Amino acid sequence: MNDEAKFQINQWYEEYNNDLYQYIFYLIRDHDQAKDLLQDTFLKAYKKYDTFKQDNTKGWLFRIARNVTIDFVRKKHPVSYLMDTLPAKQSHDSAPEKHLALNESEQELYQALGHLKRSYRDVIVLRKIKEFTVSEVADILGWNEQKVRVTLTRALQALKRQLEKEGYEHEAL
Amino acid sequence: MKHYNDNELIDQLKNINEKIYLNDNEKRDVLLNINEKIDTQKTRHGGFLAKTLTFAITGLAIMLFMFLVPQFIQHDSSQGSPEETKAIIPENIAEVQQPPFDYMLPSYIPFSVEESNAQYQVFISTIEERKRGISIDYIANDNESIQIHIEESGTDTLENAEVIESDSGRTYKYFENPDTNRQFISFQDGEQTYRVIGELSSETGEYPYTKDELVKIGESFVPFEIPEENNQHSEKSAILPENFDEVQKPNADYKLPSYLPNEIKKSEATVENLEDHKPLYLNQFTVNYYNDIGDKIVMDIRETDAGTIDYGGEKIERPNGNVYEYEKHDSQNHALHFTEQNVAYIVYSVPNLETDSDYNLSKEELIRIMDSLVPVNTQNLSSLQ
Repeated sequence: MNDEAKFQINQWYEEYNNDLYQYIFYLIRDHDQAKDLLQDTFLKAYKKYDTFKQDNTKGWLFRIARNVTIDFVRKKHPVSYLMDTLPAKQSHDSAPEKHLALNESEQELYQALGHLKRSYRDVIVLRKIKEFTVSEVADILGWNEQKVRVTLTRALQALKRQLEKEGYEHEAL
Repeated sequence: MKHYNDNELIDQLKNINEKIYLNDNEKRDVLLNINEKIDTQKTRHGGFLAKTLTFAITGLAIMLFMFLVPQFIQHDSSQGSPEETKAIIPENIAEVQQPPFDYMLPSYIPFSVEESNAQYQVFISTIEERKRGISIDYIANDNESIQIHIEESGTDTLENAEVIESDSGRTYKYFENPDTNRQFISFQDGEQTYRVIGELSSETGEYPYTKDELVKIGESFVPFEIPEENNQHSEKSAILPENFDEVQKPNADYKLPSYLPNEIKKSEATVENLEDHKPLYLNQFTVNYYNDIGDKIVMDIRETDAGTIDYGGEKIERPNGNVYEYEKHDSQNHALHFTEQNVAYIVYSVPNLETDSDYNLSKEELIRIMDSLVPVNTQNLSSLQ
């Protein structure tokens, strides 16, 4: 491991820290924990720098972030992990609203997204918010492209159903 | 009611996304931490050459030793072996709430266990189905780990799993779940389902164990006993409420539990005059034991002149001759009664409804609490008026 790797990690951090933090935050819904996991993501990237093939840096970093987050949840919240969900913060003092200035409808949408299972949340965030291509999402999640497409369709339907439960009405195009 | 179409929904999600960010100080702090840890790692690597040399010499010596004593090679770094019958018991087993059934533990784990941790679990396999059980993590020095789940049997959700029959005739199911990055085998024993779980390595992208290795662990499960010296169940001091010194106590001699199945964050006693309930009950002394989210275990202690009261429930005779009565209205509403020397004890659990909790002690857990009753020293204590 050398200075070049450290330099590169710093470059990547400048470029992607926000995207990765947002992704981890969506998964874990905890500001402080997302910060720690962001740090772990770059440390793991540093450790694996020599094996990285330099083809899609952003996708590679997202894949590491996802694995690091899943590892964390598995160890700290086994029940949530089994349910294929990630833990929504329970304690009032660290409620997400406290960190996010969301209006009422955004709040509802944020909560609805939080109620989706992890795979649905993953695919919506990566494809629709982070705008990765289907192929890149497939690479990050370790799925085939067909699974990405099908899961995305189901995920969006599930999100709409969740919103309807919370009092919203959806108009399909 | 607000209306959204697909595009608006995505726009709205992107708006939320824009509001999720680290401020400049936080960004800088995270980067500083990263660089600090990278530098620490580099320092460690600095001594790598010297260490490698030492390691090589040591390795040669070990190889020579292994060559001269070939049978020694049979013992790898694993803990236990399939032939051994001693369960590998987690370090904290005596401190955690136990599921309401006896279970087995592995006597073989394919690495040297540096850390082990058991945790009481309510496993949620479907929205409707919740099963009580226990999970155990066995962790090696290098963070390699195996997780064991033992739970009440229920709906089998592993329809597409590969079925493996072991030499001993036990049927295992092997399954890999790409959504959760886990591989596992499961098997049934009596009314319990056992799972041995490996995690996909985030570094190699591969599952760590072969099917045969997982089955080997499965075959090694043996019965065990919770170490008596550490078993909370055997402790004999009453768990007093925090305000014990401040409240009036019953006139009669009475007991309190010496065992509770989960960690208690707060406890509180209250007294109530039950004059209106004469002759059944005279006074009631209630102790509420709260967990961290406000669920409580309630122990009602009622002075009575009426002897044992029959609630029409199931009679349970304990090995020491005591007879409890289990009164069950529905799965969430049940209690255990015991009357001894003009004192009636009733134990039950109450979930904190504000948190949507489904906390509910099992019948077996209620029995265990009742079994643990020990006398409270009433000398010099004030009594109910």
